[in-house]
Amino acid sequence: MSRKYCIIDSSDVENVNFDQVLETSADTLRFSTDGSLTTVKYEGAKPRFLYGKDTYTHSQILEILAGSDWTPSE
Amino acid sequence: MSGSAISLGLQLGGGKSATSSGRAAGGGGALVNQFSVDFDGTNDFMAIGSSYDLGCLSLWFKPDSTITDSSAPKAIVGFTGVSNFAVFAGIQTGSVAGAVNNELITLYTGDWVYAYTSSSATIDTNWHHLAIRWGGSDYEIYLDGVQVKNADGQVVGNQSKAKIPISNFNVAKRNDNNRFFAGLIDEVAIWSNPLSASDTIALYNSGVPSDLTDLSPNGWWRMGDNDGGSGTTITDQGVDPSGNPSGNNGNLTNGPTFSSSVPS
Repeated sequence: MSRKYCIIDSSDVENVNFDQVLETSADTLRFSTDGSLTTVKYEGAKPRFLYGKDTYTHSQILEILAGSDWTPSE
Repeated sequence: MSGSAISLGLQLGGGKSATSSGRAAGGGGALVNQFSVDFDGTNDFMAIGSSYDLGCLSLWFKPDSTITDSSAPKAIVGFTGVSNFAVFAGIQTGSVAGAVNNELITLYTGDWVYAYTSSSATIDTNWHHLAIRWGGSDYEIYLDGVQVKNADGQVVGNQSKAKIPISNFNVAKRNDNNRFFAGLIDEVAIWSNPLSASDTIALYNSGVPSDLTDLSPNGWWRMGDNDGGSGTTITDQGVDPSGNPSGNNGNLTNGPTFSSSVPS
């Protein structure tokens, strides 16, 4: 089953039902470099709390995460 | 264990049925290996969290994309090393940038960089064996049984090269929660005391993982074997210096999946 990915505001993490996404917990999320965004992934039906959020494929989310907004330069 | 012991094990182990531990019945070098773990490169990893001296490390990896000296850096393993930059320590593929150029594989300890560099070579998307070994005065990097480390550089401080202590050991990400690895990883093992050079080379075993039991790794995560290829716990098959189970189980975090693709 293919996975789908969404980007959400960090302030919405409190609304994430971790039984409906593949992330383990709020403590293990990956955040953007400025801390304002994070990603979640799911299989099957889109969880209700993600309604209205854009959905990305694996290759699409990898391209986004490779950008400077998510990967800090050193 | 000597290289001859590995050869003996291979002769004895072939075709044997598996025991509950995943080791070939009768012991020896052959290993029942049915699973690896697939990391998607977005945010999943295996958390171990334990501390070791970095004497020797062995693992198999199959990257999703070919690695060149211009590839974005990805951490096959991450750990907390030494110096103020300890959180950035680990073993990475691709262009890390810093004290050396044209990196394909880099061990960053926090104060020193040890690297396999090339402006023309690439690492393809097949399975590869990677080993890191403290050789007494320098870290060595072995790719598919060949010592390839050809560059190093000091990043911070003025410390001499040394075998370093590491902590908070993770697989497939760096400890600043970045540089997530995309691809398959299998048979991760670590020793606080370095193996001999010949034993390290023999780990490659012509591209087929062998049973490490007689080499007494302090941590050994079989990435699905011993755990039925399900769940989120990777049972540590390593032993402590007294020979007791180390018990530093890995925790698959953020949804990595098991794969039936294994080095063969």
